[in-house]
Amino acid sequence: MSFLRIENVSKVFPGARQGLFGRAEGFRALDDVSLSIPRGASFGLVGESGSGKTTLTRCILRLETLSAGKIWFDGTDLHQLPPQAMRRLRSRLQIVFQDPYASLDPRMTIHDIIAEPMVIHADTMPLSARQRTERVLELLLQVGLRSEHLFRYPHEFSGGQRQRIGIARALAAKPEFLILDEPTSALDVSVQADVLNLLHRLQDELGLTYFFISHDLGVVRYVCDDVAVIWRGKLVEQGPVERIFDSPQNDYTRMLLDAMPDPDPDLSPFRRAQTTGEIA
Amino acid sequence: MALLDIENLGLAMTSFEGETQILHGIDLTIERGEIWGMVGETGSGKSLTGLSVSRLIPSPPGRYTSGAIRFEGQDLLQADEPAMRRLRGRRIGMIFQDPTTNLNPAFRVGTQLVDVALHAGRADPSVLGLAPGASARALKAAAKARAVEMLDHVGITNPAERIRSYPHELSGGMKQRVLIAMAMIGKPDLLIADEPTTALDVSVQAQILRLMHALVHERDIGVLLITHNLGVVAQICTHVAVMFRGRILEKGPVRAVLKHPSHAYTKALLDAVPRAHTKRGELRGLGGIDMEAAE
Amino acid sequence: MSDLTQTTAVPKRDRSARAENWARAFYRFRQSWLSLIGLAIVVTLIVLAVIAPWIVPHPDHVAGTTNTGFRFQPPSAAAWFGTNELGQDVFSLVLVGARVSLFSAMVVIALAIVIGTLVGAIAGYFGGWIDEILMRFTDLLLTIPSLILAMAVAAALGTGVWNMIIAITVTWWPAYARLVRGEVLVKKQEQFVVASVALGAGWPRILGLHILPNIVSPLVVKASLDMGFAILTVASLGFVGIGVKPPTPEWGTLLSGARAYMPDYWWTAVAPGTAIFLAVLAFNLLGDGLRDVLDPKARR
Repeated sequence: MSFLRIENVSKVFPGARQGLFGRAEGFRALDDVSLSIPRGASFGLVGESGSGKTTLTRCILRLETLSAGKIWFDGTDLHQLPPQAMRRLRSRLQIVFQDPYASLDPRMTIHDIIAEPMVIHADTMPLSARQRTERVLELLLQVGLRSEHLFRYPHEFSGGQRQRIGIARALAAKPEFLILDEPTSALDVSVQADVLNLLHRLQDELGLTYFFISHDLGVVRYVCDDVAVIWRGKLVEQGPVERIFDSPQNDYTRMLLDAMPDPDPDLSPFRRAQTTGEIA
Repeated sequence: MALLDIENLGLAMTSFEGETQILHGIDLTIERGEIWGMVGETGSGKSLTGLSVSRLIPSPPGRYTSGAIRFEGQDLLQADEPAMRRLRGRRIGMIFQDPTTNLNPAFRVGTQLVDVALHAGRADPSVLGLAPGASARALKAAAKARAVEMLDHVGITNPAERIRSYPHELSGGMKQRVLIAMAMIGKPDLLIADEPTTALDVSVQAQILRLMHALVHERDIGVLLITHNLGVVAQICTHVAVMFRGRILEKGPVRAVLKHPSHAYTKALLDAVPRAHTKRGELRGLGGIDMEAAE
Repeated sequence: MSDLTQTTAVPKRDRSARAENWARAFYRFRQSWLSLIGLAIVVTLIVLAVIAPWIVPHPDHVAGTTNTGFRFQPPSAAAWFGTNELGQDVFSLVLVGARVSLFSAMVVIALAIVIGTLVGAIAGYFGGWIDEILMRFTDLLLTIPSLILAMAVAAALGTGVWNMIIAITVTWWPAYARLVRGEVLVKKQEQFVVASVALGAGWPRILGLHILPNIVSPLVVKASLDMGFAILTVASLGFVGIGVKPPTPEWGTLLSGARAYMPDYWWTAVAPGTAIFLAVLAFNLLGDGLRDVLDPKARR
């Protein structure tokens, strides 16, 4: 039983207007994409810029309309839901963005940022202001921040801390499904490790389902159970992480794996050719 | 004589909080043919070290508190602005992280390349293959030929056509190639590359690294490659320096440092990179020396 | 709630963070002594304008009393800026005149911001045909030279401070509508706004809580730069005789009255002229300084 199922989804952006009635040929950002994510799983989506990764997340969040296909979330056809029902459903389907510097409103305190989902969904989460603050505190501690951070502003935090704030905000509405859109690509490796471990822990504690988008194959391999590789709007290969990484079938997947710089100097393609005397 | 010799470099910056010491005595020597990787986290001072070499830190707020930066024996910290301008773009080339903001969107890439070539040619006509005292017309013609030649050299197909493109007509990888061409146009002896591939896709990154590697070998130049990506360092650098809070903790040949790190911080940094067989929960953050926790 | 929160006291709302932001902003502002001079002049002008009726040497002249025996006295210790054709103390008139000039300019800017923000925010946020209609109307107003339009409106409404304010506002809000629309379009794409949409927030919340507070900076900068021009426009309308009528002193009217006696009695023109010059310059310096503080990127 799949929790999120994407069925033959295509998205064509209309081309530029030509003359009075004509239009240039559209841009096919997604081409017949199908995938299925079981509850509690971590599903990775790997692709380079312009591959359609972001368009797919926007389609899942219904920030874009579909040109063809269906997206099922826990048995509901997302794009057929009336606006009011969709608004309520958004609390179950949350996103953590790539850039922790752009995704937090610079004029709001951390408290107000994390409390926002609870304010928006006050109809389904009736909490008093006091209860809300308590829940914000609980979330802050859960993502590894401290209570004295409560009334500070985003600019006072480092990138890693901001990403934790972004995760706390995403968790505030008690979601079941989390889209993680390159959540660590703007962070230092050391901080990335902490955030990835935090995501693991939260998944164990809260039983979340992850849709993890990244261009970093190493990170995807560490976080995910299954992975799909997207190239020019098409899924070229998908399957269990081990299979894809150890015996890729597709040329593009193979190229991506080869291009990943490995932190072992002995695996450098440049060094193999070069036999200058260096300390072994 | 070393190509670049940074000795006990100290830098302080003035801000709202007052003056803070940013670099605490950096020592680094780069010879020709060496690619030095400088790794460290955000705020470790690695970019400021690179900017110091080309003297691109405005003063104030910056102030050098100690040390020297010797480029073939000449102390750059004592050099005046006209002398630095002769060095930049000619003897010292620079490549920055974001290829989009470092090209002027209003001009064709050719115009920008020719400009740099002319600047280098005026300082030293031999760069363009001309005798001293060459006429302005000869300089211009040679600069244009040089621009096309460099584009070809960095692997841009059909350079005579591409030279007429505007930056927005090029992909990110192509723009970075143009910037490398621009940095290499004056036949520099030293190249400073600040996160040159961070904004690029991995497949493009591999191409750019290959290009940089080839250029170093062909021209026998020295490179200071500033990056946070240990994979990139492992791939193309001959040496590596690990920076932390304005200090170099460890430096040496890349294999020695990455295979047998002697400093706990280097070890921690290496353990933080997920590899092929890292199991769930095995990845280590910087725990004890976590910068975030320390603040 | 969970026992976690039982053990953790909710910290006090930290005012010091806000105070520190202000201290930081002022630190950046201080980097330019020109903006400090601008700020000093603006503050002085406003303070003087507020207390003018109680400190000027001849409040009776301001009320309309004439003293023809002392007409056209050159500047002296008794009358610092000399006297005019009615024997009134020019210093008193100019100082009290600051009240009308500054007050009208401020009200014009405030009204223009309110109307412009309303129109621009709605057009920018909703787009489509709402945007088309609102912006075409705005463009239409922008095509008419503002001073001429203001003169026409003022002439139709008749004289008086409020009619003049309305006349100028009619010509000024479109510029703010354009600015706000552009800023809203940019902020709409910001990730924290998209985040809010993804959370399920409705448009009043997104526009009012996330977009508008984040475009205050460019508005403040434009407003302070515009203050100078607003003062100039008020003076221009006074100068051509539409706007404030004597005996209420106003810089443009004073200048206009002095025109007939140039160059022999130069001081009657120099005083209000200098006042206009100082005010316009000061607000521009202040605006430049604020831009440095609020938009550090524009400095380079």
